[in-house]
Amino acid sequence: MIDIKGVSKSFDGQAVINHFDLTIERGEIHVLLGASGSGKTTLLRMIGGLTEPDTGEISLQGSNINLLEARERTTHMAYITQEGGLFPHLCAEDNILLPAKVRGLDKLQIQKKLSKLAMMVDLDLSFLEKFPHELSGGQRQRVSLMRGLILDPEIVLLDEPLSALDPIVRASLQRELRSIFKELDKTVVMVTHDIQEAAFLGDRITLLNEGRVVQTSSFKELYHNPLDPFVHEFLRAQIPMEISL
Amino acid sequence: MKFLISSLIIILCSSSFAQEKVVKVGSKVFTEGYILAELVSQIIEDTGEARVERKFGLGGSGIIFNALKEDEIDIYPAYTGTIREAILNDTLIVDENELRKILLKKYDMLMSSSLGFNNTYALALNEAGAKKYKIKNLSDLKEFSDLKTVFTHEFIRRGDGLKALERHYGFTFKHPTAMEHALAFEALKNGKVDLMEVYSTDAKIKRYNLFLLDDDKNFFSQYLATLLSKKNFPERFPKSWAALEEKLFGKINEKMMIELNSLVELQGYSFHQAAAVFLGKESLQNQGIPLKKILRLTGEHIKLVFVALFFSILFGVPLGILATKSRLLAQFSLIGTGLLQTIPSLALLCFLIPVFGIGTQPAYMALFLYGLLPIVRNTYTGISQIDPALDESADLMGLTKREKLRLIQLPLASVNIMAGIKTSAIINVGTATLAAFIGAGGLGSLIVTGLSLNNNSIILTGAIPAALLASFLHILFEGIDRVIIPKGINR
Repeated sequence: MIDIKGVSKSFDGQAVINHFDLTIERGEIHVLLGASGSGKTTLLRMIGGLTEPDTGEISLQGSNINLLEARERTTHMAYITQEGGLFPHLCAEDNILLPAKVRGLDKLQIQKKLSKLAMMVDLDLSFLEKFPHELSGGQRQRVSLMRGLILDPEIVLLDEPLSALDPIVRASLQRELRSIFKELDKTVVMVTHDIQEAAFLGDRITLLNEGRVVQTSSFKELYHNPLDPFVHEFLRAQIPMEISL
Repeated sequence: MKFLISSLIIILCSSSFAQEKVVKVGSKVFTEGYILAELVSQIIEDTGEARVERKFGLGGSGIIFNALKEDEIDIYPAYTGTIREAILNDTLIVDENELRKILLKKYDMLMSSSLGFNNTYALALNEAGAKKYKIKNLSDLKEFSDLKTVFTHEFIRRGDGLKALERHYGFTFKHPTAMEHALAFEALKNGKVDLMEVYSTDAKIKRYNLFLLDDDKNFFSQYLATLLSKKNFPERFPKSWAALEEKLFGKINEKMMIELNSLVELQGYSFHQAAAVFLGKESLQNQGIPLKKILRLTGEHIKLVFVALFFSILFGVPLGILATKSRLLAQFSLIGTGLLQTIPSLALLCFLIPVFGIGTQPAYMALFLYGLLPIVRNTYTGISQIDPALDESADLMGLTKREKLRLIQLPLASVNIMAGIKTSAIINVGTATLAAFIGAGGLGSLIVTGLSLNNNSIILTGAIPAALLASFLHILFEGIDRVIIPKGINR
């Protein structure tokens, strides 16, 4: 589905992604896991077409992402940021419908889709007429998830979508996300630094360090058969801390 | 926005386009000029031959002469000396008849016969000075060359002005200062200066009890009051011309002119009333400025402000958007509009006269130019201050540049843009008062009149409605803000 071949990227002479190879399969939830500075967000931005690789190529079903028209690319691929990127001057509903409106999609069908999505992300319809500043963090992320799904894209990219939320909301959204993506059969690439989140959501996990792949596998594999001492180190560093909380 | 545009269209359409004969009467910015122009206007109106458009208060001899040349006005009171010195620049012209011939041949203009008085320059001492120095004649000044003297800019510059006077009498003033005429009278009255130049029919001679020095060596030339028009004026308006001949030519002597001047300057008569008194239409009593006139001028003022504002928005917002496209464009448009702001309003108005003539057009242009900066700057700031994450979010929706501008950037920048428009409108209310100097009307014409009469209450009749208008605009724009600025970001 998504092929990343020999991709490198540096900023100001500093290599952020280094000869990166990865294939993401259709229908899987793939988590890019790593500490801050590991290059995981840069990689996601390159998949989303927001940043162009210096060398190498990222292709979507065989065609180079950077050669796709922006409108075409964004129709097949949704990108949801950490803060959600909701427009403050539009109410929740207008935010969600914006991508559909500019594409001139049928209003009736879109309305149907809107109520279906609201049910799916567990958002009360009365919140649709509220403006972003009137919503809680969790509601805002639900709205931006709905906006991401309104065009029914094959691929959903998520950049730490839950990291700004409090633990309780976060846990419930994690469960919802997994069931929504499985139900809709989406290919998902998600960036996080949180091992629990990665373990819970990811079919496969790619652990990154200094712009390189350390290991790509299921969480079980990662835990029981680390290919590199760094894997062990990274897992140990987080798990005891979470428990001590 | 829709409301703004439709109200502008209503304002624009309300000017009438009816076909009728119109005489445009001009005057310069001083009491006597206003009174004579008002006399001409009323005499023409009384014949019923044509409607009179009063283009009063035009600044400077050059401006008003050019206005006649370009048919911006049809007729105005002019003095033979001024035409000879300040316009034709030819001191060799010996008399009135030669002047008349040159005007006809060179400019196709008709100079009427004298209205009956000579308003020439004279030098005046204040009461105390006259007692102290005991000077009677100009030639006596030789011994008093260190007197503190003030003259108008025009008198200092013109061919038959200060320099020629000094040469003719053989002395040089040691401390000549240039000052606006009305202020010079105040300075003379308060004893800050000893001597100034005055016009021989000036009401202030009577008011301040000034002592006129005798021109014993016949230096000052004649300044006969006449009417200047195009050659064909008597053919275009035969009844009016006949009435002017009958009621005005040779009918006003110096004493009567001083009397009319002091009716206005000392007794608070309007120009209209003073002229009516002369024509025997009104008895001697003071009435003040009618509300109807204030309302009409306020209407003119609003039209000036809004038409200019409309164009400032039309050009300012796109210019501000353009500025966000590159640093170079940003610097270019911000510095450009900023520079315009540094040109003093009156100077800008004067620069625009050769291109647009006098009246409302150069005023619209000047107000338009002044209105640009706040709108351009605020549009630029508003758009460039948008959170880059939101900008990226728009790209992630696959919005085209146009869609992004229309649906995201402009609404998000609307608070700033509206603030710029509001600033522009309120600045324009103030600047528009200066437009009266070039005959654009509006509340400024009351202020100009008040200034030339040294009459604070007339100044206030113009200044107070202007201040009220500015406050009203502030409230109006608060209301428009509520409609235009999206709810999600409105405070």
